[in-house]
Amino acid sequence: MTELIEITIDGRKVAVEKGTKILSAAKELGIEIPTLCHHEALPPDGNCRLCQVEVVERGKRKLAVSCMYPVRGPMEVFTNTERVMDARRSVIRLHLNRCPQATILQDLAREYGVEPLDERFVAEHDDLCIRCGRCVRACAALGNNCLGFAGRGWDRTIIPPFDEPPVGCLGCAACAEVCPTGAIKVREEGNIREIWGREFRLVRCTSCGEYFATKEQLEKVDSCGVEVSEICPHCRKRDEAKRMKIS
Amino acid sequence: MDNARKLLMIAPEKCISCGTCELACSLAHEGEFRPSKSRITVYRFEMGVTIPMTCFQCDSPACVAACRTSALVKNTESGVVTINSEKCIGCRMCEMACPFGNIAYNAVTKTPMKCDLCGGDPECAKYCPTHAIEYVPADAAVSKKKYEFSAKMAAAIGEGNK
Ligand code: SF4
Ligand code: SF4
Ligand code: FES
Repeated sequence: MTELIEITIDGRKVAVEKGTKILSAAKELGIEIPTLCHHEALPPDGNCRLCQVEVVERGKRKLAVSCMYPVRGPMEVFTNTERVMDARRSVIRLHLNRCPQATILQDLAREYGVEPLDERFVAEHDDLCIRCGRCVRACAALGNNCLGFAGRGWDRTIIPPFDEPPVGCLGCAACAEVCPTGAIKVREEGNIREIWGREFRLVRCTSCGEYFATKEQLEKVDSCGVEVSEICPHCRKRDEAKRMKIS
Repeated sequence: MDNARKLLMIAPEKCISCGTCELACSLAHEGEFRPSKSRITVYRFEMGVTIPMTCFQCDSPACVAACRTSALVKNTESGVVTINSEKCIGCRMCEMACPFGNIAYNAVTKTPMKCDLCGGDPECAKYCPTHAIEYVPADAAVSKKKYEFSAKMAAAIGEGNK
């Protein structure tokens, strides 16, 4: 049995299951709240603080991190008050100071009217990682756990174990795909793909000769109970059509 | 439940190789006329033989088995294998898993491209000038001879997923 709770967001009512996060409840109403560390496929972590909203609950009014804050009882939520906008602006400013070259932050700064930083400062700071940990969580979702946080405070970084090329890495680059700022670099040249300091030799399609995947990727698919061939997706489709033609 | 199911019936012998289905598909899904972004591909072989190919909405889909985040799911009611792009982490496991090459990851939109039957009103079938592609109730399709193609596919899929 799931208990439904009715709440109000920006004056509109919505009934959600107990435990639903405010962010998802707002989404049901089509109300968008900006996020950075949140990803629908991954467990919430609440570290970027961009998604803050104002909540009035049991007579108290406070800021809450909407991707983490569960609906437990009746509440009123405001997503665009002056206080919320102030909170968002200061969060954007903080992230921008760390990663002034991140386009997603530059866009947010423009949208929320955060004054741009000094050009020289921007030029000198090329760190793109906002430490949101989406890469860490994506790798964990794949069951690989190749990435983690190291260090504290300002020096906190994302690294593979012992800061060495990760042994369990598939070279799938899902970490780079989910990174909101493009901080993770993947290099692909000929039959080599490089990520996190590790070089992968790519598998060659037995039909057309194109390099299309790492051996580790194919093994991972195989481990999901799917028989996988060393024929690239393009050729598989064409081969299938050919088979239709003959039969 | 099952009689509500519809599927794409493809009759290659009626295909005149015009590529309209590819254009209709890429326009509906990507907003542009670009066969390379189409979920259906027309293969042109020698002697005028052409075969349009797209996702078979397998009964036990390899892509779904490979997806770790449930971005891809088999809808038990409609039978369609659907993709929720918000839940996709871009690992490309589905692309590597599909035995028929029917999913291609689009790195720009960060979504795997696969046939979703346009949510129940497939554009390819709508625009195919010769009715080489038809969208018909599953049971009606079975009763027709034309269904051979789909049946053949189903058999192939059974093999592929063993
Ligand atoms: S590398 Fe990207 S995804 Fe990983 S913590 Fe940094 S900003 Fe987030
Ligand atoms: S690329 Fe996306 S849809 Fe495909 S298996 Fe990975 S998470 Fe699932
Ligand atoms: S999106 Fe909620 S804290 Fe980052």
